[in-house]
Amino acid sequence: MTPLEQAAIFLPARLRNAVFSTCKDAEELHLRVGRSFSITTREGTERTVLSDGQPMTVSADDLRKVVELATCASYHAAAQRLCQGFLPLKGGHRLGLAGTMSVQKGEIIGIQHLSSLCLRIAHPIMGIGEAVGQSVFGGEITSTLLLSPPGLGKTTLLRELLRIGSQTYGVRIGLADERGEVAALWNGVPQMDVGPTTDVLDGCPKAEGLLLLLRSMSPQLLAVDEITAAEDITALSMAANCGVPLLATAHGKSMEELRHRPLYCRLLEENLFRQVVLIQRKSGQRHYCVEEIHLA
Amino acid sequence: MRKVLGAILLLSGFLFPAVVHIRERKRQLQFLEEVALSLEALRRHLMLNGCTMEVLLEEAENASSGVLQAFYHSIQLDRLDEQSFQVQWKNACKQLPLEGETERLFLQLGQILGQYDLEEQCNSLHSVALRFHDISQREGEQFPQEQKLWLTLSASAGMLAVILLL
Repeated sequence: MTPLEQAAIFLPARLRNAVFSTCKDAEELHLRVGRSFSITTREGTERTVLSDGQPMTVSADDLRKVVELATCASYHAAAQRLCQGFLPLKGGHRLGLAGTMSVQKGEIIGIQHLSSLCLRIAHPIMGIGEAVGQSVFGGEITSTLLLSPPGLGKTTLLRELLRIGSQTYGVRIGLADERGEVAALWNGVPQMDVGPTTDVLDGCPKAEGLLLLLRSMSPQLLAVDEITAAEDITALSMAANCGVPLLATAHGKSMEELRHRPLYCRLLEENLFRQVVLIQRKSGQRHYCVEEIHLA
Repeated sequence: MRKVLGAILLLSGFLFPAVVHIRERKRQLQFLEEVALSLEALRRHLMLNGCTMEVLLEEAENASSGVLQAFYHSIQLDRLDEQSFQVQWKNACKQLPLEGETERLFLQLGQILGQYDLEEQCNSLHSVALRFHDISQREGEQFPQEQKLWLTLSASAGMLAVILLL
């Protein structure tokens, strides 16, 4: 079964059939109430899905059906994730939601009306991080920060490094996967290959997750996707002080840019990472540039 | 001798529908109580574990018997693609000996289960279970009188027929 076929299980039959006849390499499927059903191809272009030459209008019922299929008619069991705006699906796919949210005391407690769904199809990419893996795991494990602007594949590289570290080097890894984007746990089983010796903590805030893993799973490496808050840095700092190397991702174009942002400035000042991997896109290809971070 | 036999047959003929009705009514009352207990068990299970509908239905099926077990069994979540949970629940309801208020309440429950948050579902399960229990209690209290009425009416009608015909 291809990833598209696997993900399309969550679509109502009429939309599913149309998507197969339109495209075989969709990256995202977009359902917006009252508008045309569309897909984003791997090249990044959004195309309207046609049925008998006509665009297919998505109804509110279609969206409800997708959510019912995705939650297996158990809204309550997925409510917490739905309130965060996404739902991890079997196969590592992910359903993003938008609409009118119910908010109480500043917290999202539910969704009143759904207006859009985005079904992101997971395409496992293997073998992209061998050289980077060597620089992280070859010899002593080196604390590494993966850096790039959004959409260049930080999470993919992180996942691949976890797989390499675990599978090839036998490193025991603790992964704090707050949004379930790295391992995509489904009923406790990682849907993406993160290696046989990786322990995943899913759905828990990163800062708490890192400390929990540190205390309970005795990791040889702690990994986290997207450092975004001061608490994350505090937790990373605590882990580093316990002698556990770190592997993390952050948004940024360069080290220079990172130094000018207060949050990351602290990260660099505390010397939590020994090297940075810059992900760049040159003539359509991703390049990984490993740089040593000079101690502050 | 022939007249006595005829009288017995006539009386039996008139009493038989009453006996069948009483037996059916008794079964119905027992069933209402069984549903009330099953819904209350579902609520407890849902509240404690927050489990998925699949697990919940499986538990309910294992814990029940007869038509109620068949009801839970007939809701197949791997067929959600063809029929939504609500439609399956509604269709499965047809095989249950429910009518009037109990049928309406049970159908309404199918619109809420799996669609709302945990609290809303637990509250609905609790209130429907309570209502079923109340109805079963109320009708259970009236049952002896109803039973007596049916038997008296049938016996009287039978006697009248015996007098008129024989």
